Amino acid sequence: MKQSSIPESVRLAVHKFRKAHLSWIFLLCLLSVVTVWNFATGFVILLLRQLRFDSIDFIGFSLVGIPICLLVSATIASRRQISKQKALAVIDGHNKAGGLMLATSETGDISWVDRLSRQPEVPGLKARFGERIPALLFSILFLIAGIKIPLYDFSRDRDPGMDLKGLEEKVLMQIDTLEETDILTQEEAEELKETVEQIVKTADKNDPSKTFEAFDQLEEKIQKEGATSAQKTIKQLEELEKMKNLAEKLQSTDSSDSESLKSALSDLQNSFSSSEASRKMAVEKKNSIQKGLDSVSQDGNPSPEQVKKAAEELKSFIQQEAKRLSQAAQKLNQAKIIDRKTFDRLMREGKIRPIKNQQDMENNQGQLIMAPANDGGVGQSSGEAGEQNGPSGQSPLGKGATSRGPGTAPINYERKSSMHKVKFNDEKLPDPGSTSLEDSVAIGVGITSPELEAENASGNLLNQIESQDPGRSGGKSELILPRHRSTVKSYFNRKSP
Amino acid sequence: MNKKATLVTQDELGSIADKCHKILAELNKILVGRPQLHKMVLIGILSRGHILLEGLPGVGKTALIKILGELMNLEFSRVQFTPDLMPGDILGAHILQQDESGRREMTFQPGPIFTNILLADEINRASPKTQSALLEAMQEKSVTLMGKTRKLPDPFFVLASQNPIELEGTYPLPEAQLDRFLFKLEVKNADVATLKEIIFTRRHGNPPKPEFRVAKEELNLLFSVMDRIYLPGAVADYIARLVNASDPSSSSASSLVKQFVQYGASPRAAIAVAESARGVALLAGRPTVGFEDVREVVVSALNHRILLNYKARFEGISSADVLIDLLERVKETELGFEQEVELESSGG
Repeated sequence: MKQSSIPESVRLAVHKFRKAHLSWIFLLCLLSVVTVWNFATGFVILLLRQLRFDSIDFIGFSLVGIPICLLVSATIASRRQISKQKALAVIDGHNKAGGLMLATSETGDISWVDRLSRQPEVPGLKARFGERIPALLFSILFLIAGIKIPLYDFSRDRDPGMDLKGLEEKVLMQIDTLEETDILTQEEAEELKETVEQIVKTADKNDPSKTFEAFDQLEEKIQKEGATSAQKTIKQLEELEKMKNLAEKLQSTDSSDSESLKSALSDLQNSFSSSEASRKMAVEKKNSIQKGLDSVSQDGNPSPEQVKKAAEELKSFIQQEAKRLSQAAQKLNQAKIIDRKTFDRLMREGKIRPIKNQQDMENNQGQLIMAPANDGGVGQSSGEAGEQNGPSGQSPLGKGATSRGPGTAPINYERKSSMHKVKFNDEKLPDPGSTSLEDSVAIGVGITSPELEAENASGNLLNQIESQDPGRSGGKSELILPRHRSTVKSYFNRKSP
Repeated sequence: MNKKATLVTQDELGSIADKCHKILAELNKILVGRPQLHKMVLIGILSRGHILLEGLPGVGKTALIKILGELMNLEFSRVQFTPDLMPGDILGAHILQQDESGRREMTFQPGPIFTNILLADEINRASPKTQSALLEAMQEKSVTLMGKTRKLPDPFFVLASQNPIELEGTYPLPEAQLDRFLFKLEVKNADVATLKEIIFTRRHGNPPKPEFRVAKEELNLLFSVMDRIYLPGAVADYIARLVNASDPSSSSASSLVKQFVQYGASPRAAIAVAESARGVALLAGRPTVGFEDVREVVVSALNHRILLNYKARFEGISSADVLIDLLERVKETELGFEQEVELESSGG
């Protein structure tokens, strides 16, 4: 197209028209490219999420495509833009120029330029979007769905998964109890809780035994701590009992007998100083009691009132301590931390006895109180458990009585092990006839019918009777004498009754 | 497109266009009532093409051609085609003649075809053999007899007529011959006002004589200017797409074409459209052919060149219907991008 021949107004009109055309083409391209990008990105996001790459910023990932789409659309649009000649033809036809614009452009003959319109009209353009807009909207929905839609766990249908919630709660409760009763420090308790969390997180649905083993080990550790604590508690209670007896003895000692009094006081002081309870006691309280006892002992002739006061103070302390220990023991018992073995032993030794209600506990503050009368509780003795569950020992209402440790846990008969799909391989059993009977003793009786051995090359029949070799198969038939053949044959061919 | 071509000057074209308008005006004055028909016939003459006129008897086909011949100062011959007409009756024959010295020899006696304008009346009544005698003449502008080719006068036009109602005993023109006609124009009946004027002014049916005649030099100039009317590339592209779209096997064919057209237009049709569009441009006083010029002549130039199938006959679809639909669907300029971007106006 010769630029110099056509008027400027026509040239501007051509430029304007091409620009409008380019814009529409660009818009159509952009719709298509963005639609494709959205579908592709949505698919990739779904794939990444299914592969558990959740740390990727999916929104940012999809927004990266905006400049790419713009660039691609611009490139395509620039290639598909209408040519100047075609644009001129459109304007020529729209303005009814009769081909004058085209001819002037093509030939360069400007003799007819004055016949051209001074301000040629630029025709408007419109685009038919067709299915592009619905496709774009659908692609946006697809992209959003790819980011937001919850993923379906395909393994759920094959394996219902492990229900660890109850187990987890139980163990965490036990850990809290140990922390409350000062058996575990805060750091130790946190560490155990993290362990629980880790076990739950790494639980493998295909191999639940590992998870349960891990929980078993953790519970064992907790029970060990509980048992150790129980032992300590028992020891403390014994000490307290002793102190209480000494205090009573001190109270009952004749105040006129200063020697006995001093002796009793001294015993009490020693007992108090060496006790575990006094070590755990707050410094102020300990000093107060110690001071009281010391003041009494230092005094050459302590008065009955002083003695009584010291003994009462100590007894009060013993009562509070016993109460505290009982409450701690109660907590441990409620948390089912103490195992049955420990409990049974303590019961046998008379260190503990079960309580049935709160009144019982209040009435027996000086004794270690353990084991409520709960159903299936660890605090029950075997005898009581039998009474609970019935004389036959069968659990009522079909509930399984087997437990995984302290307390009871329902048996899940539907839980499948990791090997539940393993099929037995068909294996051909060895031919019993060929089994080597190393331990067998030759008794000279064959288990199969004897065979007649063929003649050898020399034509002589082998009439020897060979003894059975213990190392050989028991199925080896024996040679028999010719005169016995018919008898033997009829024996083995007889019909069994 | 020819980048070295120069356009016809405004003065030159102006005088020629005035002359053409004068011819038209005279024609309209003499033969009242059908200015569009007269325009198309003049365009056909200017394009140096043959024209087929279809109309009932007495509508003025012969009068039109006769007057036109007189106006254009062209020799005119009329041949009434009958079933017993022989080729020799049209082309001429060798006859035995004796000269003054008594020597006898075969002398060629030219037939009525040796003229500028041949009016072949009721051409479909003649036998195919006679019809085919016109084939060479129409295409080659020559006649071959007894091994000797004789050129026909220049310019040479065949203006044929055919009667649409008399089908019995007629021989429809073959497609090869139909394709040689530039236009097929329908000569319709006159309206009431025209009939009234005819009654008053043509008491015996003879039209008045034209008041002027175009000189031979003017005619030659007319034709030379016609040859210099410029056809832009975009317009040629439009013509090509139109003709291509008339072929049912083409990818750009419309549903109507695919459904009702058996054979589409030939390349000769494209040439015919281009040439006749030049005539339109000349009459419009433009040195170039525009898109609207093409649209004006497409129906007349292509309606006898596309062959419809039996479905079209059953459903009453005519060639003109197909071509009008074609004009609506084929855009003057392809804007690209799968036609998803289009002009807001319906014209483009």
